[in-house]
Amino acid sequence: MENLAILSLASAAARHASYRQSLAAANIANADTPGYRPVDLPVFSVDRGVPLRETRAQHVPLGGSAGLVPGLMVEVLPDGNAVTLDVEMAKAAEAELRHDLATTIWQRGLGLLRMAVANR
Amino acid sequence: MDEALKTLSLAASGMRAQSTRLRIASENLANAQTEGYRRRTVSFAVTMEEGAAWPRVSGVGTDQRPLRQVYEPSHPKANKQGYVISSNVDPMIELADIRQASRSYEAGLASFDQARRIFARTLDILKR
Repeated sequence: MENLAILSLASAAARHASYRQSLAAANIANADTPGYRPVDLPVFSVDRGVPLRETRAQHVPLGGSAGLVPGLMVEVLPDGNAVTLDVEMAKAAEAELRHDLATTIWQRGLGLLRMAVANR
Repeated sequence: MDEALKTLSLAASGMRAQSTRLRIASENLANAQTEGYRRRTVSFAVTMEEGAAWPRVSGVGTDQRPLRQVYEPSHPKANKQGYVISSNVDPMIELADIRQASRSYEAGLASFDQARRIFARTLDILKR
């Protein structure tokens, strides 16, 4: 069952990367919103996985943004906005690569499983 | 999967806000010579929904700075001292605004494309 562990790890990593890219996109979309501070996710780790969050209005409030950390702030503009476009673009590109990596591992893991089943 | 779809609409709402700003700035620029025209301003705000910060245009206001007076005695609308009331548009400000808006729009477009690729990539797993 080693392979199944790989699959769940890969899918958690993919979810993490996708969420991080979404946060970067939100930061980019708010690049000119007064008072907006960028948000980020902590680095992916096996035991932490993807943090809990509210995705529906009916969900129990988690007390603000659970699991999110403040993003890197290079400078704060006079209107209070602290988004740096290039930092966010780099973050989003990294997240995309990590998502690629995770989905590739997922596919390979599945391939191994298939091979094992086919040889029975 | 859900995340990538949400990213698409997040990026789109940022782009919509930026294009409103772009339109207003072009309007201002086009009316730089219109007598009595007051420059319009766009303000952005954020709405928290579905655990994300959605950007939107919170309002369009008018710049209350005094209108410019141009000395042009031959103009039909000139007053007794020979001055014509012009607009309070500063083309430099508008051009800088347009530049910034289109830069942010392009960044939004890039993240839109990225989310689309992530979505397609996830879908690829199902295809084989």
